[in-house]
Amino acid sequence: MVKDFIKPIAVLSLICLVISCALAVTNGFTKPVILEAAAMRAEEARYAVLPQATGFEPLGVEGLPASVREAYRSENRVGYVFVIAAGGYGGEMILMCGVGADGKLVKSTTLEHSETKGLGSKVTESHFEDRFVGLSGGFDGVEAITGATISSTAYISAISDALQAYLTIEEGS
Amino acid sequence: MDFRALVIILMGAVLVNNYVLRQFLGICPFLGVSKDLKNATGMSIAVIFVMLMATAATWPIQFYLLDRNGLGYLQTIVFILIIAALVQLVETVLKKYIRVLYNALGVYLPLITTNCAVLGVTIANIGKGYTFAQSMVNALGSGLGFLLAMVIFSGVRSHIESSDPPESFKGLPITLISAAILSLSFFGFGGVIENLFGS
Amino acid sequence: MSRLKEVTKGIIKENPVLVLILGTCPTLAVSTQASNAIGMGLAATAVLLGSNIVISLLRSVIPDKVRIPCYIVLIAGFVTLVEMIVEAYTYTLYQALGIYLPLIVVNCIILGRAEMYANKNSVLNSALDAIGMGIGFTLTLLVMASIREIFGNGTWFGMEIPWLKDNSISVLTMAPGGFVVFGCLIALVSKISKGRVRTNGESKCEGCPSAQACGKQSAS
Repeated sequence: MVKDFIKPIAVLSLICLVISCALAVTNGFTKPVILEAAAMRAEEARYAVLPQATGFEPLGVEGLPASVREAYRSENRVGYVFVIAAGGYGGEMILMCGVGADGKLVKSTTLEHSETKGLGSKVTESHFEDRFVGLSGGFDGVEAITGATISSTAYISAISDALQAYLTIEEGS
Repeated sequence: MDFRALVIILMGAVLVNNYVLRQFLGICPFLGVSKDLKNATGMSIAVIFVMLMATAATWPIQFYLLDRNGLGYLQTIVFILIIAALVQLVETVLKKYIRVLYNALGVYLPLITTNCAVLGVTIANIGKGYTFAQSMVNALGSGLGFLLAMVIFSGVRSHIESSDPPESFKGLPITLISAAILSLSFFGFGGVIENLFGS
Repeated sequence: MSRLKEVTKGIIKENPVLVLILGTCPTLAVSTQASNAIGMGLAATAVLLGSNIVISLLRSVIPDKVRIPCYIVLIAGFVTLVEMIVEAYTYTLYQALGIYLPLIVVNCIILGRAEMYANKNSVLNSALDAIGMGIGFTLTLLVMASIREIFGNGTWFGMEIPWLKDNSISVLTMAPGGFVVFGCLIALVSKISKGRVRTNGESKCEGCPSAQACGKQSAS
């Protein structure tokens, strides 16, 4: 009876232990690679939304709108890059916005989203994202995507938060 | 608590992003068990039950145990073990204390361990960054969507029984093509939730 | 069975997806693009190979009582390994497969082969079985994905095909298209083998550990 009970549990526990160790070891190898690749992708994305920048220095996000996750100032002072988390239709939507030194949006891009494919996901298409280029406010005239009101609204609120963050920083300095 | 957001998640999971007909999760039971309405309903209710409990168990573990200790990579293993253990526990408890329920649902429970939909919803909750309340609502919605698809499909299948397709299409192929048409009809829901609840 | 037959049986005669009807979820979900299909196929084959070998090695050690949980832990371990490697070295594939990568854990093919084959056969045979099933799975995924990508998107492996690109039937890349192509493929295979394979429409979960539950309620 005891043998019936002890052996199965022991074998199962041993297997769990061995697997966990193997995974911990592999994690040790792969985690740095993953983080490095992610950092490179983030850097590339920053250059994509603010092409004239030469380098980026991170800023603190205290005092900025709540949805701003990260803020960067370009080293050659041509503008700022903000990473914004908006509440979309299918969950969080992460955007990266480049705001020029003149307070106008240079470019915006979606990093992550869980919007409905074919509907809300259209906010990531260039014909929608381009509507915001060069704006520094006044989004009333911008058309939302038909049938994707929530995704569009989330996107727009993210952009206005980015512009707000710009104003906050400029006022502070 | 943003009530509107919760309703959107619920309706979205049931209609727009239906787990079976859009996301292809839970296909095995969908094709296997939907022949009989009684079985289909029983299985679906068991699935809803397990999804809710699995979410209630896995969400806190992810946030308070795994993430805090940098053990995110153990997510897959831990989640599937929790689901397997839960199912086993539920089966034992039902068998001992609520015989009636066990006789109705018990037989489907082991099948649910390998149901992609359950593991899928627990992982999706984390991936989408949902809060606990949102995760529970998502689980409920996904389960209800599963139920909806199963029940409708069992009706469709009872009609297939009396039809006479070409030899090589008999059985699974014609069932799949009917599933395709059902899936297509659900496409009509895209945009409905948006416009009902959108500003 | 000869060594070669162990491998080739997984390709047509006992094709895991089209004949044994296992692993349907990822097949339908991931077969929208040919490149994703190959990626998923390779990932699943890697897990299948690893788990078959280890389970066969340990088959006399693992007590029957905790058989299923042990298999699950082992398979989940391999899946996590593959997940980490894919995320580190092929990020685009990682994004494309999304939630279906961890879902390989509940892919009936892997658990099914463990239950039906690896725990009764030698390590070498189990490995060959895994390779055969893996090839069958990958090929099926590739065929389905190619059909859906070529006619639904006008591309193949991302390369554009002139006339088809402008005349694509995009529903093929979406959910309903998946069901239809899958159904037609099964019908085709059934016709080719002229009914030597069983297609009675019932769930073929003999490979799944829940086979008894299936049998119980199909009979009722």
